[in-house]
Amino acid sequence: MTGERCSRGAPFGDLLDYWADDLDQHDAERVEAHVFECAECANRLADIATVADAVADAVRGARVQSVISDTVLNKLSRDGVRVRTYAPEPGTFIPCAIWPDDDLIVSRLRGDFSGYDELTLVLKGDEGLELSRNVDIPLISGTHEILTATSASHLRRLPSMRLRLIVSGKRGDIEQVIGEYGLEHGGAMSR
Amino acid sequence: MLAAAIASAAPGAAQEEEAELYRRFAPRVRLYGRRHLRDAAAAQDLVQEVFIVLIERLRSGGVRNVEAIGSFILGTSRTIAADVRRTHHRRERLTETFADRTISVTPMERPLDKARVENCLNSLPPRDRALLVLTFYAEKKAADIASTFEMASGAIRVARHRALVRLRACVTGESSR
Repeated sequence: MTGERCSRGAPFGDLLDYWADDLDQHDAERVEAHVFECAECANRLADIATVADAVADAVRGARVQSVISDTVLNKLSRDGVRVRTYAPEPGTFIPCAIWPDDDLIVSRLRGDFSGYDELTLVLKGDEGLELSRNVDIPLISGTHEILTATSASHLRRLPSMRLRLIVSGKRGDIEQVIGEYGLEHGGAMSR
Repeated sequence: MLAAAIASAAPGAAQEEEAELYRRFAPRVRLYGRRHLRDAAAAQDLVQEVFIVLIERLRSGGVRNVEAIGSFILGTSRTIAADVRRTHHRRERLTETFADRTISVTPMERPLDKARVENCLNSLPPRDRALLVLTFYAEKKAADIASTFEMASGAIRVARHRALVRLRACVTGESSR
């Protein structure tokens, strides 16, 4: 999967576009005809399918930390993933906990994130301990909301503590905090 | 040529060649089925139905151009997949038809180490991760993703390609170009 073209000259990128259903019918049929003649491209397409399946399985298994959209959230719910959502307001702390049947924790962060070149999301614990940092997150839920998904099993390992989600962005060379959202993490709960 | 050997042999006498033909082309038919039918079980049914037709036609001399067997298999896949889509009809004749076969091939896609995939996915830059999630989980096309990322569709396709190469390189331990 590392080369750009197969030995017969077909571009590898076409295979991915084909698998992602991003080719028109004519081009898709051309790629199919090539795959049925070229073992190398058949193997590459199988590689793509395998990685694509692995990504989907990881998401469906609530094991991926990522910014998501409501479309993804709705599909997760349809797939039976048990999602708990928290929506802390900027500058406040709200109580949160992880229950035994939770699969995924979604934080819904609201603010005006428009006009920034690079948004960074940092999760900090007590006394400023940085637990994660995501630089240049994409705004895929519009410019006024960020949905961030974290595996419940990952959060379950954290002790009770105050957590802060800090969204910052760059305007020109200046980085500024856009919003700080607090969670009073009560740890793993049992019923 | 495998197809030529099957076509010129007595019916059922070229079992090794038939098994090899299956080994080579069944994964491609399965991928075709998954892409068009969006269902792994239906894709496996498609493989079985295509090979029933293929082997019957080869054995009976019904394939005119055995040199272009890939093209014949693709055409058969298209016809049967369209049929499956229209009728959701399933035939289960494989066992009956090939009950005398001594060589059995169960193709498997190469599995990846799940934990490694997760670690690699979570270590990708956030944009790469979101791109792959939207493409392979939410099944969003590049044009849809482009509008949310405020990028051109072509740029999304290039970025997605690079993200996939990076992920695979991390998972397999190969270097990416």
